[in-house]
Amino acid sequence: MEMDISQYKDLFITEAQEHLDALNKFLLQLENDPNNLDVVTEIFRSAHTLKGMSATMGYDQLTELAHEMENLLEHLRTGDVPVTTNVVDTLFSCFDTLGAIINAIAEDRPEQIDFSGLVGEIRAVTEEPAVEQPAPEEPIVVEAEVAEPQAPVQRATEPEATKAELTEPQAAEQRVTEPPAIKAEPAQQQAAVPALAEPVASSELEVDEADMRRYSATPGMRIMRLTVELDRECLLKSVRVFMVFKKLAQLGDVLGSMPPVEALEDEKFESTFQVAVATPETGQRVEKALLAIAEIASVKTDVLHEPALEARPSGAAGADGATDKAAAGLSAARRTQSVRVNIARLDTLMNLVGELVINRTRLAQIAQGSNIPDLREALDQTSRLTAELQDEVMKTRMVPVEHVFNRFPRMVRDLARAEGKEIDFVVEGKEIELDRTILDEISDPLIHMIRNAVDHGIATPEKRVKQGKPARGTVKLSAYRDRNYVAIEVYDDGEGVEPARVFDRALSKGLIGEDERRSLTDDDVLRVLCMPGFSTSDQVSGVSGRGVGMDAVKSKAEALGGFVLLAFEPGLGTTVTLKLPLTLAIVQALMVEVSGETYAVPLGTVRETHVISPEDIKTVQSHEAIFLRDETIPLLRLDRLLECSHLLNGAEQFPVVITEIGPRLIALGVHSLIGQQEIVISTLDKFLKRVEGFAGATILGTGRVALILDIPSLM
Amino acid sequence: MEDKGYAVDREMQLVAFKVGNEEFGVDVKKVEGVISLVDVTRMPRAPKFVEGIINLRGQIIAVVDLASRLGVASSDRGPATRIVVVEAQDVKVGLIVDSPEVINIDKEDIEASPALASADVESSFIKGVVKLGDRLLILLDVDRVLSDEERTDIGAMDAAPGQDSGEEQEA
Repeated sequence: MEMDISQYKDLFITEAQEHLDALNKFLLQLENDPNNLDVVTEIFRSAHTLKGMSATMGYDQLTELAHEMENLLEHLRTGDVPVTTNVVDTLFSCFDTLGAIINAIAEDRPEQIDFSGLVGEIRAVTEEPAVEQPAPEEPIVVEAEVAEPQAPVQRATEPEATKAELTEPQAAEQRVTEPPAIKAEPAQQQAAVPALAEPVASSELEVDEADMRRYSATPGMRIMRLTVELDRECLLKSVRVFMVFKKLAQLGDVLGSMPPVEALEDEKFESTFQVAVATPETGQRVEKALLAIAEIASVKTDVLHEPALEARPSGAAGADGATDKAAAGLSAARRTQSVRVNIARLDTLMNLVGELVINRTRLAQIAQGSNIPDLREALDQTSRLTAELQDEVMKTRMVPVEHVFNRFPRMVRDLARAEGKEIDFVVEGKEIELDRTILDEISDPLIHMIRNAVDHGIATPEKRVKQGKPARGTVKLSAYRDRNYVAIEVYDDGEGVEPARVFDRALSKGLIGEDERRSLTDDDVLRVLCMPGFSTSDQVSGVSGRGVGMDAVKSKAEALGGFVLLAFEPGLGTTVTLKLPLTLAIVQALMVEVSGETYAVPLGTVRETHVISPEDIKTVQSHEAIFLRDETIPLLRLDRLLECSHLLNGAEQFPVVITEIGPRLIALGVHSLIGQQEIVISTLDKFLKRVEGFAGATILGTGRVALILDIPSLM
Repeated sequence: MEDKGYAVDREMQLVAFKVGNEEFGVDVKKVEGVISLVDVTRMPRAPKFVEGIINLRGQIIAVVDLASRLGVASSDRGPATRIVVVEAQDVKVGLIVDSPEVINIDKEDIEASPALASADVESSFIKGVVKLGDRLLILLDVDRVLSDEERTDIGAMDAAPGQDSGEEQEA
């Protein structure tokens, strides 16, 4: 029998990354609000979980660094080390190093990362002269006894939402070794302190009284002791233990274990261990959940406390509030229970649904020829079900943009500091969802856009004040739905773009000719900014020039079926908007016919359709255009663009599809309109990709292939 | 499955076919399959030799008019016309040919004298020639025929005429 810890590696990496994101997020919060102890607690919790996970997986470097960090955090939490810039910087360095180690693990690079300097820094800031911060009206507690190493009840994992929880064996041990081990702590902590050491010989795990009181006071909570037995052949017992604890943490709060969690991690037990847990679940469900983990031989449940129907504890008001909060957090955690699924599996699912959609369309077409009512009805039903299935599959692929947005506050902070700028970074619309594949692709373009805003949009505080602006600049990253698109916008209230300078620069680089200077619309400016190799940055530095990367932004947006917009006010600010389709695989399209071939126009770009007569067509600057409600819309005859043999006769009426490409309207002249239809997009292989004008192709119900028009590249 | 014992080193299988009046062969390992001529969707803006695109069991692939690509005179399409699907540099491409068949040859019969093979066909496309009685088979290098430079050309060739014709019409 062979067991491989590496199968947990991916899971570990994903979760570690999430904790790292959370750490960065909370530390930024703390930097802005140094007195917020709740945030310290959150940081501590993530760091602690990270440490536990790493220890389980045997990643010693991570464990070690997380442990050092935890010591510092513990001091922040107790308030005997104040939150200074120095401390924040040190912690940020720690996070970066943790990130580097995690990356090394992810990439199977075995090298050791030397962070001894960092550890020195941590210790140095930890020992900075503490400012006395006596906690109000709280008794001084001597905690040495708490840290009795053989204490039968140990806190295993930090419960999800119990802010009051502070006792943690390692931290406690640390305190003991540090004279003077006298700390001022709020009352709740006292409540959470495990009872004095029971005789080590005790054969059953006991839940300490404070926990008993707290959890039994929470309505609907059961407290139970689980005796878990692993298969005798189980090789990596610690992994199983980790999974048991993880599962239990999802179901409720782990109150302690026997042997203590460190011993379990070190596999210092035979095959049986006990865990105490407070959970709203029934014993049966907990058992079932644990038995689902491989190599768990048996689980025995002793319910120590059945939920009270109603219970109001007579304890301190503070602890009471915290308990409520904890309970609320717990039920929230249960509601959002989720499963991690490999993205490749979702892709396969999506492909299958795609084929199903094609077949459904094919069936519908066959049925059109027949007049069997039952067949029609069955088909309608199938159509409805397929649509629902497709919708659901699509939803499973959607992730909030938050996953990408989360890394930017830290980036903006670092950039601003490096450049001596003061910047408020505002994020809006984090909850907006995008297809996972699209989201993965846009992180780099967004980095370019935000860097541009910081580097070239926002000026130094001195310059801003001179211009009569507040010294602090604002960079805003926002996401919002715009019909079938998601718009992601980066705004800065900085310098704006000066078209004249842009053109001078482009001219001097030979990117454009002198004759192009006369047109200075926003569109032209954007086009020039997006030319490869263009940059307006005046000084050569490590940072980007506006324009460096804009070509990358543009090509990425277009590759994803989206586009880029630019709006600016010289001296007042710039907005760069990335418009992306909600999803890649299946879209609604308007099918049109040109010279006997069917083409698909993505419905997201279609505004309306009209039938026009030759007299509606005007010639503006030697280009054909039509007038519609006071707007002049350029007319593109698809038959000419697509080099068809059969051209529209100048004398007849023909339909036009009015499309919206960014801010511009384009009228596409076609032979006929076929109708609206759902299409599954297939990308063209590399043999065909270079042919411009098409976003891909789709298989019609007839089995024939139709090209999907990409209007910007068609023009 | 290639292991046939005695002649394993010498024997080689080809898919042989006609294009116009000439006969060609492609190493069977390069061939994914042969399908009948289906409805091809025209691909505007692609070079002339790209006939269009088809649905090959749910996958969309390009179809190349091999006569046009090789620059040989083509004959009319008839009941014997087929699409031979080959894989060239990880991409499946269909080639329009006539009367494909699988034949066994002896590797030693391959002569590396491309210059003599055909007056019309670009010599870099030719791996060699095989004499089969009075038949002369030109062994094609499909990777070259559909080479990367060629793919680059597909884009380049397209851009120029497309824009020209547009401007002519507007003027």
